[in-house]
Amino acid sequence: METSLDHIQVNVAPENLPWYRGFLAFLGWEPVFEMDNYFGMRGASGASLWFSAPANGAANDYDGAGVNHVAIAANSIADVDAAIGYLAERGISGLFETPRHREVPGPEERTYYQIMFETPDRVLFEVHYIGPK
Amino acid sequence: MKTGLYHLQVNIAPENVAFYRELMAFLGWDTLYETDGMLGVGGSNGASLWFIGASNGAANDYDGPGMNHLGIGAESIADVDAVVAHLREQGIAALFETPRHRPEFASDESSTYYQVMFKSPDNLLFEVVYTGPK
Repeated sequence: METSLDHIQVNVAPENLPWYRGFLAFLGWEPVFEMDNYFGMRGASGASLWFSAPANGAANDYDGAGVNHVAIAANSIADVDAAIGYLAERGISGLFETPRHREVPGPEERTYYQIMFETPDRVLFEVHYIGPK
Repeated sequence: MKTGLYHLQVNIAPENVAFYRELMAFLGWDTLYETDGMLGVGGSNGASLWFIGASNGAANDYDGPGMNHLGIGAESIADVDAVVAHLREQGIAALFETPRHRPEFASDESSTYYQVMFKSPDNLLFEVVYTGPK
């Protein structure tokens, strides 16, 4: 059998739906489906993110059981920096001392450059680039 | 700019790592990395799941903010049925009247969306789905 990551449904507050649509459009994702309080967008890997509102208001903790963070891969350091700029314009800054370069196993000329941040619903996302410095 | 979903970190109870190792192997995923309490697996499109046995014990609600469910794509109805049988052997119940066809999610009348949904031992909601010709 051969299977792969197909989609993730993320519950959010209704007023935050435009935030996710705008952010993923900036990252180059394409709309898959849209209706009231529900939409899906697909990125280059073929996997999609679906946002559904409303979440039920539970105070979830991303350090508890479940998804800690959702990581999106970019093709260059410049693309990560562009995402950082986009987020900064909207008052969102990096967490855990990001943006920063992290060591990756293998040749020294490679890097893992990341920003981690919380969305308006306190869902933890990462945008990163892995490759030559 | 072109970007794509690359990986998810999923926090779990350390004693449940074996469950995910066995499940993902059944689904045909390759082990990318494994150490005590940590398992990374990759599927056929390159996206990976990293199960970390470091949950702080918070009992999250999948109807609350954050991930509701994680959908894994299969290549045939038979593959979904094989997963259903495998889960049954493990004593894991299918939820929400699945397995079932969801015509409302199909792209056209000649296609189907055939799914099973179930919970892992960490109360995480998973889906295995085939989308394509009936």
